Amino acid sequence: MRYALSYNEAAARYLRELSLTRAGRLRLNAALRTVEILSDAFRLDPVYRVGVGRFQFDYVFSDGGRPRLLTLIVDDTGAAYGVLKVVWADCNP
Amino acid sequence: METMVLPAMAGGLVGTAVRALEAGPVSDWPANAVEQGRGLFRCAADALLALRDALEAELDQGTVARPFVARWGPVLDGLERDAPAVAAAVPAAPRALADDLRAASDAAESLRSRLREVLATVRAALAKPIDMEAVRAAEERMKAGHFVTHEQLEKELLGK
Repeated sequence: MRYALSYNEAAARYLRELSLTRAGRLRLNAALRTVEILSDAFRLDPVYRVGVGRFQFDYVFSDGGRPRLLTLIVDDTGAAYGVLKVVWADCNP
Repeated sequence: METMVLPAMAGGLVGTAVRALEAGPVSDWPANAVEQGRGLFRCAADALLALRDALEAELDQGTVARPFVARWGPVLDGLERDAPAVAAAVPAAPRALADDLRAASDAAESLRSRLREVLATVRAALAKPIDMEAVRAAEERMKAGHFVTHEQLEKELLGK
């Protein structure tokens, strides 16, 4: 199942303004596309749950040889209706 | 499959090399052991370089972080254990063996140093606390209709 993904405005602004190369932006987009097709097994794994109705998605990629870790907190209360909401985003370092 | 086979292969070859080095000073190895050692160190170097390539390919593609740490953490642990013994044997190695031994040592050091950098970054980021108050506030704003669709964000991300 492919979920419809939406973003909190602040999270979207943060992701948009990340200092990444063109290749890094493509990888960031690939990470976000990965969230759209996450399995229920992943989403519901207690390791990734953060409170009720949310899961944490961490994704590692390199940008210009530098390792980066993207962390998203995703509200999945609408998962049964095919909807996931990215409420918080962070990318380190 | 590659991510399972390559670490097993490289770890086995480096482990065998270390056991051989620990069995006796490399300067005292008989000629046939030197010949076998050359093949062994060459294979170990090749396997370590292939592993480094696999690591970079995985990072270039991007991957979910926790399984990544679970796969590569034990590889780094093995290198931390075995790489110093390989490096320490290089200065005393007979000329016939030195190049292959140095190649194995350099490949181990290159992978070890990259893995240290990557895993330290990922582990530090994973350990960083999340501001759950900010998360709850963001959820409230989204409920009030303040949100961006993926299509909008993708356009902006890739349009730059």
